[in-house]
Amino acid sequence: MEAIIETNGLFKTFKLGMLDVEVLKDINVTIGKGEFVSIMGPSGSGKSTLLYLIGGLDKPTSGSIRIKGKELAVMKDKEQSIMRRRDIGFVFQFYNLIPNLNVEENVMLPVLLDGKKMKAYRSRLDEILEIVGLSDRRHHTPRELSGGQQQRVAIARALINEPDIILADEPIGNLDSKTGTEVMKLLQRINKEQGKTIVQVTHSREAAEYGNRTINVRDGKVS
Amino acid sequence: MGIIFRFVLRNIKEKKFRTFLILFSITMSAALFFAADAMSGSVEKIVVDRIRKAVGSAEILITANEKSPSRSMSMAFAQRLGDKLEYVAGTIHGSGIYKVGRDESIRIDLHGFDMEELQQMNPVALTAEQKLYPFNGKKIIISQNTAKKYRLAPGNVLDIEIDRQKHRFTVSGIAKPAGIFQEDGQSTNAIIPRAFLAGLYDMEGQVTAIYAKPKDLAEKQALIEQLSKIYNRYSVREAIPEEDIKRNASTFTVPFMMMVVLVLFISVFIIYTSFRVITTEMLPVIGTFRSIGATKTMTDMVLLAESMTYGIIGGALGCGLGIGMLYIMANMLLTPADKAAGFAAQISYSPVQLATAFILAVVLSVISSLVPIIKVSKISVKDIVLNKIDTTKKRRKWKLAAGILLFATVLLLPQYMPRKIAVTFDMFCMVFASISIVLLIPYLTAGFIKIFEKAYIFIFGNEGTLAVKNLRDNKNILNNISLLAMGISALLLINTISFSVFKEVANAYRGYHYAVRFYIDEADREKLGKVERVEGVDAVYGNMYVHDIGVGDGKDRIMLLYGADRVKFNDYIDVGILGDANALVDELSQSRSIIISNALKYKFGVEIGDKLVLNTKTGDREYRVIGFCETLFQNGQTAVIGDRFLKSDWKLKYISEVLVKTDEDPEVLKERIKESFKDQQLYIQTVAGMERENNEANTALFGIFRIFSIMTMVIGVFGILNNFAISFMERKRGLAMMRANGMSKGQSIKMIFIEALTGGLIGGAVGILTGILLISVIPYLLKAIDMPIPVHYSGLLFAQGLIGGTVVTLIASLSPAMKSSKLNIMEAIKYE
Repeated sequence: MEAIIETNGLFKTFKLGMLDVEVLKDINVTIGKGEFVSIMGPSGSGKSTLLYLIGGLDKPTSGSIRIKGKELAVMKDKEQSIMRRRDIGFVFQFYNLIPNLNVEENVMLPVLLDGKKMKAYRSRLDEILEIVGLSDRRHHTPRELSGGQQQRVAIARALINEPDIILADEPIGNLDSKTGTEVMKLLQRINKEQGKTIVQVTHSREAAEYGNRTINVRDGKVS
Repeated sequence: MGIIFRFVLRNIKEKKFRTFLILFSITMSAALFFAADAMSGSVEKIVVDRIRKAVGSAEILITANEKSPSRSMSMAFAQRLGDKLEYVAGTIHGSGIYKVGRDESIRIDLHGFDMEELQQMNPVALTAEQKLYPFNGKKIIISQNTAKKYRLAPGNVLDIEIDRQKHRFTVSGIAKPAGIFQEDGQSTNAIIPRAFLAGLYDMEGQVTAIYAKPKDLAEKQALIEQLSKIYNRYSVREAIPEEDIKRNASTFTVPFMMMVVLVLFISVFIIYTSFRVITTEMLPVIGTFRSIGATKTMTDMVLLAESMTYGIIGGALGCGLGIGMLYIMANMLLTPADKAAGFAAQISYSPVQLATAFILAVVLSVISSLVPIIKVSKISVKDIVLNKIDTTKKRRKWKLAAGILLFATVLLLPQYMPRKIAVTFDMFCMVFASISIVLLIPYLTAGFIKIFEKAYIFIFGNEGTLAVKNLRDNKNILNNISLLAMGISALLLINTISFSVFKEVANAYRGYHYAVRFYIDEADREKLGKVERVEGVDAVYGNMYVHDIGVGDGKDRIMLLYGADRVKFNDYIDVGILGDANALVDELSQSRSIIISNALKYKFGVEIGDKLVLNTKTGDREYRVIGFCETLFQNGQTAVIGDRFLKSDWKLKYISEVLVKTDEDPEVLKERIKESFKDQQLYIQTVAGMERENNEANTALFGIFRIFSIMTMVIGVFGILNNFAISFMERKRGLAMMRANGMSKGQSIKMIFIEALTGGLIGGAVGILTGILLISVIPYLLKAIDMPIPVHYSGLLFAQGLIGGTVVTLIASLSPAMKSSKLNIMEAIKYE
């Protein structure tokens, strides 16, 4: 299987007051294209840090990360930003929608940031809203939506630019079990039908079972 | 309770910038309020000091008036009340010409006094003397300045021409620059024995003015009444007309209070918005305290105590700052003549004024914070603990309706307000204008955003569209727009008034169709003829006028009354007569008729054909109103009658001023006229010189107003900085999320700058709208305080307002823009 994400000898240290805390220690993982991987581990194990490093939202202390064969460390801010727009879609625990933009505008955000015309993405938008089941809510603002609906908007936003990778940080951590199941099924469908590589961080074993591989992180190491 | 208070105190200390902002706005409000309130007292003090220079400690003054049989009176009647009076002093005023050299002569104001009386009333401090006592014969006391300037010393002699007769005086004393000798650089004073002047003017036992001081000041009014009965054909009045001075000084306060109203409004707005943030931040803590047993009253009291603390500290600082400001303002109000006379800026304020400013600060702080505190108080503990608070801001229709209603009130009603309540109503209109704009800002902003949204896609691309979308209902941006609007409108208001005054002054001087004017003693036809013969003189007009004329019962006054020559008047002075000016002036010469300014028409409430009773020297005379004029001479308190009626009714023997036309350089002609009248005292000015002097005086006054308006803007700018800081804190997560979705650092900075630019442009535009609304009230307010100045708008000023507002906002957004580029995305998403 073609590797889409690779980490080699990844270390991350945070400064906590006077102390240096080593959050990730020598992480070496390879994720193949089309995989649905769940990263699991107890609180503070470093699993979210690993996800954010893969997404280029933070820099490792040492080691390398390659996304679609490209080394993140040598990329400038603009190149990384373009990669995040086109190759990666993020889904967060607390949805992180822009409150004063409506559903359509939130979903189109990566398109806008990519300098493309919204008109050109009309049909793609309709298609994605259909997939996530929010066609009738397109003009609503986040505060007019339920938690599950907001998370589906976040998934739609992650999909709009047709990225190969979706990184999800506790995607159902803030949802009730019924809604959580719906969201996980949606992610699974996207993985199977569209062949997207999905990497999720989760506490939930049930959620992890929707994926086809689990990586366990404990005390900053892959166990 | 103690632990909650400790928490609040820690909060005040930790949020340094917010604490500074609240304290700064309260301090400035209290200081400006105090300075504006006490300004009238200080103006009073300046005026009283100027009068005291001449009257010393006297409290009662008796002089001749138009009804008096002669200009002198006997002191004997006043002296009979000696048991009730500490002293009675009399003086004879005269003047003389001191010929300094072949080409130079100066006019000296001669004060004839009995030395003993003078030392009681207005003591003269001497630096040198020689054979001063007994003070009789041809002895003279001159000032230190005069002695120095003309190299005179005790024992020297000087020849003074009085009534065309030369008299040789011996310098017997040199006086320090105090009292009568506190000279302003224009006049020269000297004291000579009263008996000498009495002999010269044939006034044995008589004086031209009597000064008296009651033993008991409480009896002053009773004594004035008693003396009025004795001197029933003379004017018996307070030496210091306190009521008149107070009334005049209080009109001075109105424009300052106008600015204070705006400053207070901005402060209320800043404190209110700050407390909304404070209460929101403290909600979890309040929830925790309430859940462990603190009552609603306890938590409310804590928040109130916080606002009261700001009020107390701000009030105390404001009072101190206000005293400093008052001193600076009083200093700016001193004329060059005052400074030449050695007057230092003196301020006057009472403990009541200090207390009022302090209480205002506390009340301002508490009232402004009350609404957010009450709102928090209404939230249930459960909702706070479970964080189920709906922070969505709904646009309320009543706000739109109230905004439109207030806007319409300000725009339409001032013109219909009766004169009695006009000042109060117009001041309220200033507040209404600010409130209406704040209420309408969300709607105005939404409208502007729609326009910008369309334009930005072409100018800034998608980042522009995103930036505009971010502005929608962003309360911090709306607050910034409100603060900018108020700051800019305050600046526009003052600068427009200042611009209008300078323009009107220039216009008024354009009404002088001559180049040089001068005053000369006993100006008659012979002297006019002499002027006509001066080289370069094209034409001459001997203008006549009187000042400060009582109308009806004497309470209403006309400040300047011209006596127009039917042929020459319109050719020399343009008072803006409405209609056929020549025909109307011609009509003035035929009967007792009058043309009054529109300001006087408004004041007296008269129409054409109505009659005005003028208090003339020959008794009350009826004048029929035949027309109106639009002029700013004497602040518009001007009227014109026929010259023959002015001469007869006011018993005028001489011309008031000589007006000269020339095609040559007025300055050169001025020198030629001076040369021609070198043996006489002249007071001569070119029109350009008069305009320059007037502009200098206005510059000083508007300098003070500008301080007020700049302070208003400074408070606003600090508010804007605070809003940007709050906005960045609140948007950290949103900005991080955009970065996670592919926004580059450059795009992030660009977006924040576009937001600031748009906010600045909207703020500037709304500021201009607010400014226009405020300025629309000004003509009515000025009319109500007898200063009918039309408003002139300067396009440049408004453009500066718009650009200034935008630049201020862009600069204020620098810090958040830079911070956004250094944002730690992961931390912001996970922990903010």
